[in-house]
Amino acid sequence: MTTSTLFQHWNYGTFAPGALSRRKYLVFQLLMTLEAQCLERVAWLEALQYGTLYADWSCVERECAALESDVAAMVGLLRELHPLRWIDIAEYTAKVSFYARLAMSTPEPVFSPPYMLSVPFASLEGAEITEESQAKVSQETASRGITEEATVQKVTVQKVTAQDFACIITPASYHYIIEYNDLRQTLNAFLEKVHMVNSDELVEVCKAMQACIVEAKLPYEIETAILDASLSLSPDRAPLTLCAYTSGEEHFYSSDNVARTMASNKSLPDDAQVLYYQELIPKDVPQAYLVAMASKYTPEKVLTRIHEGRADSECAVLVSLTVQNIKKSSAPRFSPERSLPQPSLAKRITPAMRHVARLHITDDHESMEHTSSYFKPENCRSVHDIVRFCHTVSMRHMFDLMSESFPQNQGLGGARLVCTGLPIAMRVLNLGDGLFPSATGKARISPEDFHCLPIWALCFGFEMGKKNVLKAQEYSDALAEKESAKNTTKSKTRSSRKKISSLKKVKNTASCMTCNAVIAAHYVYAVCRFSHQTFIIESQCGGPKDEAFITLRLKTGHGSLAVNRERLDFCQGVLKNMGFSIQLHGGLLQAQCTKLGHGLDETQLQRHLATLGQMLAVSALPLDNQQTTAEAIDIFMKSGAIEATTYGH
Amino acid sequence: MADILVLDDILDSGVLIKCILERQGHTVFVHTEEHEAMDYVRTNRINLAILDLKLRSMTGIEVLKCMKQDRSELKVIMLTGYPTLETAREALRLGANAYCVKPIDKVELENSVRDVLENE
Repeated sequence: MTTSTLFQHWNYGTFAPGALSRRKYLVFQLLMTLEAQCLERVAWLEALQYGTLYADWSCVERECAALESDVAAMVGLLRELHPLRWIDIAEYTAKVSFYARLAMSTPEPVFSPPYMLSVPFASLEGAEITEESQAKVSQETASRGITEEATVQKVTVQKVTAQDFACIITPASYHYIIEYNDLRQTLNAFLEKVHMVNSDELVEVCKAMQACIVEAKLPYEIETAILDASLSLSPDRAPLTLCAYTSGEEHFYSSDNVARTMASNKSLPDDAQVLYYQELIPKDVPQAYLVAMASKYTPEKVLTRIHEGRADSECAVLVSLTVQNIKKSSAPRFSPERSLPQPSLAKRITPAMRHVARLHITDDHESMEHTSSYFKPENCRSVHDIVRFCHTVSMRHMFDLMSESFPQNQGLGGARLVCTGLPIAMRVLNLGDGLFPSATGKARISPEDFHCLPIWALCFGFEMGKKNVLKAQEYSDALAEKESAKNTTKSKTRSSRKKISSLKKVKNTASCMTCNAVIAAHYVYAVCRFSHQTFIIESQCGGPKDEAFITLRLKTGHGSLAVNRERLDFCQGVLKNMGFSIQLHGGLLQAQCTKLGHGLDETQLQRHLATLGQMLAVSALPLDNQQTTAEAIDIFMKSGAIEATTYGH
Repeated sequence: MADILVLDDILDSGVLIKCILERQGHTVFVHTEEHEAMDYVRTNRINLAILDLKLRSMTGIEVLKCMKQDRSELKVIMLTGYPTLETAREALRLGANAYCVKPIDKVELENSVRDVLENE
């Protein structure tokens, strides 16, 4: 939504001479860009999970592949930033990426023969048989070279003739023709557009896909086999009937089991039949088969498949050819029963998302001096974990570099710890003019030392939400205790006891929120994390008149879908009330407010920043169960909004 | 608590898994030879087999297939440092209950074993 101006302020010149190479500075810039890109990709997948977006499964696979590649690039850059640290992160990234890929990708379709099968026609209708007729069919099928699976048991015929057989063109034939004509990428390119087009455009996209199929070339073996089968079914040139079905592979099973599947009365969905041709002469059957294949790409069929969360390659086309001149309504049907449940896109993607979007590592127990012992590569279980790890440690590394090159007791440069009186582990990196001279020589500073207006306003908001921050700390401690209790019950081993005692030690000194901010006279870029939520607030305020703005990026990472949605809805409501422009995608909320665009004065912008600080504190906890989100927003705006009378720098 | 067989061509890896799981109260039998392991499963009451994919004369997939032929109810966790989509899908198709990628830490191993055994 917005482009960060962070590096216009935190430019190469702000580092002390010799502190880092230009290449490493660029590496850090790239890391930050990739982080934002990765979170947008994760959010896109979350939108599918939340059911607010739909897309063809090929897009899901493409997005996952791009995410995997971006994350691998982040890890490579992190290693470049500091080659001797975080050596094992690559190994854990490969592991996490593999799990995500396994969960999201689809297996290659089966495109090996047989492409044609003959099955006793009566079996399609599920009729009863006699032992005598069974023997006849078996004898006949054996002489025709039909597989054992195709010799099905339920036929009523007394005298076996060509008319008693149906010819089946298997799903493997469909898959092979797609491969033979190299159509997969072309079809996927069309399918990627489906979620972005309106219904008229969808009709056009589908027509284009159908044209690709109809114009495809039939492999010689398949064309010959179809012609032979047609002639064999109709030696006296009697007209043929063609029926095409499309459905998930599980309805057809693998191609070598098609006949058995049909004979055992496996059900197909009501609308599986997509094409019905009568009066076909054998020489027209190959072209009719291509039309049958194309009938899979009607707008209705495409949309249904996408909403069911199936990849295009997971839905095949099966065609039956019979000599009987039957009406459409009595055309071969596999079963009138429609009992198979249809999986949905959201349902399919949800289990995979624990390897992608769910956040397991947090630095909420980071105290002023120590980082959480859990914040390690080996505890990364998802792609989001890897992204957060890379982002956090690279930021921390750059803060440390600045601090080393600008010792705290010399001037105002470098990173400082901020004592807010709240359980917030806060560090600010002063790029120049962000602090009053009173901060000179202080290892720890307080908000009173801020010359930078936007960070002061933000801290003012934190203070306004003090009650919630303290509650959030209690909540966080309670969770830690609950976790310890669970470990005690599970294991009585010495190592577990050690772990619990270390957790208890953490409890007393831990902060429930971290805030790392880069500040200048009129600028702030603050990364605030509470548990699994990340808020990135950037603002230019109090400087050149027309450049003032606030941007916010909120990314959720854990918790139930309902809790996340509630939090996002709450923040969205508050931001809307303040007049922010908002974009919500999956678990990523991006908001923006500019002085010019929103007709605000500087004081109003500062007040907005303070309200953001307070909103952050309030949204740190799950909302009160007794309130609806609308009520919570209303209460917050009435009681919590920063009044001009209480606000001033 | 369960009887668990571990098959890994590197004895130390198997012993490490044994140490972790025995602390949970399981009884663990470590093997490095495929045929010995398959014989053991055939003749003893084993609840779960943890199979490395890269073995000495056979692959973990082949061993899985043989073990499942002998004891279809046997729970199996595949463990590998060289994961591929093909082996993962094949293992799951043949009836493996989980496909875990190395490096695997204590907690992850304990959780996988618990999940597989609890689904019994």
